[in-house]
Amino acid sequence: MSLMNFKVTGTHCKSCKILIEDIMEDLDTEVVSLDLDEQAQVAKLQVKSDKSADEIKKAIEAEGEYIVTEE
Amino acid sequence: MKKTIYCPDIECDSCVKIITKVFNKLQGIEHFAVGKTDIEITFDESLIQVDSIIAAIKEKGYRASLEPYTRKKIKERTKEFLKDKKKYHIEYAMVKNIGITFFILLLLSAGLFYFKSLSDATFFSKYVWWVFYLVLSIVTISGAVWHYRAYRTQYTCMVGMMIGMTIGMQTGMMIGAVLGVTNGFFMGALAGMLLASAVGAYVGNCCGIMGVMEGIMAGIMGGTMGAMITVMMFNDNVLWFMPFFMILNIIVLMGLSYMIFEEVVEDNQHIIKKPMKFSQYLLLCTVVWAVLMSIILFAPPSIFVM
Repeated sequence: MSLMNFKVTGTHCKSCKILIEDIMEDLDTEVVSLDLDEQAQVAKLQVKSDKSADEIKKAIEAEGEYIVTEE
Repeated sequence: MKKTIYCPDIECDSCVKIITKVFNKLQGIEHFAVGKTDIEITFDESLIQVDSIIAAIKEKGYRASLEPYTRKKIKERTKEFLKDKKKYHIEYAMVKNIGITFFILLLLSAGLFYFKSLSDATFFSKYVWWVFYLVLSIVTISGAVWHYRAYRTQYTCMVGMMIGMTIGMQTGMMIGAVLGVTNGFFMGALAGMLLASAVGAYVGNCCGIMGVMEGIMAGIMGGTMGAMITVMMFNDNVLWFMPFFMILNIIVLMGLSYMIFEEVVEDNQHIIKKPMKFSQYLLLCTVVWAVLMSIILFAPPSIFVM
């Protein structure tokens, strides 16, 4: 298990937050924190997972017009 | 079995994806189509009940029901409005703002009448009704604009066009009619049209170009027509016509605020309440009053008040 931080851009509403949480659940990944700034359309995501950062990045980007960068 | 589940909170692609994910996890769902306000769903009754489908949607934070979400009747709404001051605190504040501003502007106008009457004995009798209607128009229109601006949210094109149309048209009708009497057709139509188009475009902007155009068009129509109505009635009973005209216009503005609450505010979780401060509202009304009063006083008068 390792701790990872991501920046997700293109998140415009509360539904995006729920969606990201759902995707993480599908990946058996624990969401440590997910802070959404609706105005700036950016979310800060911290997760604990066995999956690689690349897998998580791809899973989120596959769901919509999100751009994920690891921090 | 085929059912329609009403789900009025679907707003964006993410919502559709969340609901799709919910359905993909449930067993027994054969086919579904997520629309803007409802979901058409076909499912196998031996595997899943419709109640558990609804529960699964609700779990994600959306309203869902087999019955469509209906609007309250006017009677029910009025009853609730009179009882629940907390829910309607913005509306109560609007009424209070309008009342206080109306009183202050009338006081300012009274002062003006006092000074003008010193040099012109007939000034009061010629202008008193028109200044009263001017003040009434300013506070009711700006009150409606204040109420609409107190809520920040997404407006659909239909509601946005209605807002631009109504406020643009009423501004033109009311201001145009008053200035038409005091300063004639040219000045009344010009000032009414310009002011109303600007106000209409400003409020219609909530849904983009459609609302802006609707606001400007309503402003042109209302401003020119408002002035035309009163000017054509110089030789008739314009003073008897005005109360009816004003009351109907104000009812339309009240209806608009009602509509905004019904269509936009009620049950809206994403709404932001950000009302303009009373001091700013009062200042704005006073500036508009001063500008329109100077047109009445300094632009050439109409034959009606000469």
